[in-house]
Amino acid sequence: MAQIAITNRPFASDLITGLMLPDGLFVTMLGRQNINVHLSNSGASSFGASQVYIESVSSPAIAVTPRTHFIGTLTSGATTALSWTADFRDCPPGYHFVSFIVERGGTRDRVIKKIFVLGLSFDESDGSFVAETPEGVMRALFEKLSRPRHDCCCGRGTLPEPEREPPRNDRDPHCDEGKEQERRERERKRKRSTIHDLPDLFQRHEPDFLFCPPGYLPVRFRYEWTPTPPFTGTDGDLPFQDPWWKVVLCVIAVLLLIGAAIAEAVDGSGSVTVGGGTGGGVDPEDDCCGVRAGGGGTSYIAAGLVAAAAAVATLAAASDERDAFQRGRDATPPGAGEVTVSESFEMEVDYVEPVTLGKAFAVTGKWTYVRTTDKTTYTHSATDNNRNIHVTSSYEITAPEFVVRDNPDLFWIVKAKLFDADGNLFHGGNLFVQGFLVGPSGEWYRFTLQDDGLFPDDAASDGEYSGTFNFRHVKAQKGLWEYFIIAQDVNDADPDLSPQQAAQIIGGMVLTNQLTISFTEDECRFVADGHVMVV
Amino acid sequence: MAIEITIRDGDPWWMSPDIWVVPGNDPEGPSGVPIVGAPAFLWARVWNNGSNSVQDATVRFYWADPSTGFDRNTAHLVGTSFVSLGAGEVAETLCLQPWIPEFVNDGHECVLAEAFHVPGDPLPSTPEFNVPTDRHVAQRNLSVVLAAANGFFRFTFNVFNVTRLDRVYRMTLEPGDERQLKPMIPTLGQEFAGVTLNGKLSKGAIVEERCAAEDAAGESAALKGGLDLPISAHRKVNRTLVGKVEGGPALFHLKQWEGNRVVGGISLLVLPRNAKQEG
Repeated sequence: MAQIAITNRPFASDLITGLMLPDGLFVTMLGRQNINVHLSNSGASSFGASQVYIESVSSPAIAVTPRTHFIGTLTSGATTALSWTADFRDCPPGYHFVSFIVERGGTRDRVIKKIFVLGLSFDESDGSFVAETPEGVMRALFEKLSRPRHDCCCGRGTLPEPEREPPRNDRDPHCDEGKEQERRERERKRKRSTIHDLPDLFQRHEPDFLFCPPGYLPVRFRYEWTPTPPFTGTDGDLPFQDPWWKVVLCVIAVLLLIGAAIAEAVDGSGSVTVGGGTGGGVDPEDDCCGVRAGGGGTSYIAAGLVAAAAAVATLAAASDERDAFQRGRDATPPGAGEVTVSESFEMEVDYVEPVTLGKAFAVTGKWTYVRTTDKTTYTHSATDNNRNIHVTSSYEITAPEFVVRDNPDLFWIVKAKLFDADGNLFHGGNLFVQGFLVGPSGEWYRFTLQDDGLFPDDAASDGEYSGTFNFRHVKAQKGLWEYFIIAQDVNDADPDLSPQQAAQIIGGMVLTNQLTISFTEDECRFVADGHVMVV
Repeated sequence: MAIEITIRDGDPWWMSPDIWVVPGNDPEGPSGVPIVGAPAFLWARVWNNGSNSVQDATVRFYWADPSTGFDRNTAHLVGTSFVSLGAGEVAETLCLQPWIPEFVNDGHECVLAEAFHVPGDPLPSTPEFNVPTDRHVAQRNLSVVLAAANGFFRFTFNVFNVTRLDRVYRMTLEPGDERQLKPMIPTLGQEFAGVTLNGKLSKGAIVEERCAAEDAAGESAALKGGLDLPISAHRKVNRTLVGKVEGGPALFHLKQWEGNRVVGGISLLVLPRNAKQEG
């Protein structure tokens, strides 16, 4: 009996970098994102050719671009990844639902899945991100980021400004042109982008985009929680009843870096925009290497990987497994009759090893938890030595070195095998694997690698992920293209787990090793997985 | 026609068997009667009677206060869903955006659904729904009325003149039959599965008084000719149907006529309460 299921929670990937967001959370600030699912045949027999579409979403503020996917026969145990684009910018934060229809031979299965949409606002006065939830207000601030010691940035203003409202043609005819130009210049300067403009700042992948973020890795960050109402006892309600503060920090790190990189490229406002205007905010520390990325596609990949590094470094410092915030709470029981009015958590991160995506790099986090009650303040400090647990022990990628663009019978097929920390093959829905192609003129293309047994994949769930790209279809420029195969883990938490248990399983971290951020070299190691000559 | 998306009308047309409500928090729960202030989910059964398949046709769901006169601009959009259909296929489509029924028009709200595809099978370009003539759109306007143990019931309704000119509408009350109700039974709720329409109207009247007592209901024969209601442009009038049913449940169609044309209506399923329920 074949049984079709969407095994994991649907997850978000952003359209700018193409990568999955930390833990797959959807973020209003990014506007349009992809809704991705892993569709599995959990039955014992094959599931014949079917079509899959999004039927409906629980909030009218989520604008789905409808699309029906046609998929071939899924053998028993096969999993395939599907995606749809939707705009979340007006979506109220919190839990929402999406219903998917899988139709085969007139039989329809409906699968309703829960997603989480994170709503953040940016406080320009101090550069903090704020989320208001029914249980209280959370505020997070990255106070210090590491920055390349040699500022090699030449990316400022390399992108065209987004189309704005045309100026009104009602100027005073007596005003001379010079003053008018001054006025326009003043207005232009006032319109420096903020991170709230991100959905508008990014319109398409521009071949002239140069990667130039204001910082790379978090060095000091602060998280504050003001519960509504204040609570008695050791523990109060968590935002959305979910102990996910670390994920929120990861999302902010990603937003910070992607947003800053795009804003910097559009109008050179990345550092002030994301760092908090003139009010201070992020204080970069000149101590790490710099990523040298070519223009266009490579820079978008660099932006995604640096953002991914910031996310996984944050997570490593705060630890997936042992919740430092909770340990802080446990160590500071308030006195009888006292109510906790606010909590804060501050961490200083020391990178004792280079940060390589997908490797078990070590970090030291010195943290302080402060509980403020209506009568006094309690403090607990500790130092944690942690390692990144989102790792691969090794991986193999194979692809032809040449492709004949105009021959429709020759397919360029990439295959990837990835091994977990214990040397076991990842397979099927364990991973979200994507290929990124960068053309000779900075072109950027993305495709998905699947382990679903459907062409070009040979066998389902055998641990070999396969993908293909049609150079002819996009009229690809002939010449040398480079490709990156980026794998991310997936939150496969059982929906029946308690929020505390589920919070220890975090997905969306990059497992492949294309980027290393070191603290001893000038240039970061940033390498493609291979090249293909298009002839 | 290549693509022919249809949501079927009922008999009368506002009794569509292809639209229903699932009250509660589970959108896949049993269908039933919506409750004011509590969430409910709307469903539609969409047909493609054409010879070509259609992908991602849009289905829009609305609720409206039938007393106010409504069109696509003034009806309340509950949400949207999508459906893909092969030639000749039919599918049940869920609107996942919950509907919280409000207490308007004395609790009588109608729901509508329309399905279309651009450019394959678009809607007409008018704001009016034109339910009886447009296969894309259907309406469900059926109220369940609980009568007293002695069969007395009261039902308040509004009649709206949406036009810019004064009008005289004729209101008639016509008995319905099981053939008309049968297509609705599967989606009305389990408790309606065994309903047999063996009741008859023994007394009835349409009166101005909202809280009319039982003695206001005259001989039901007086309703046969209908009641003329002169209504100024863009105005509405409020009336109450009082009546008494004998013999069991009964179905009635309250129709609004303009000349020889039915321009609107609502159907009532009157269920006599037994003495135990009354107590």
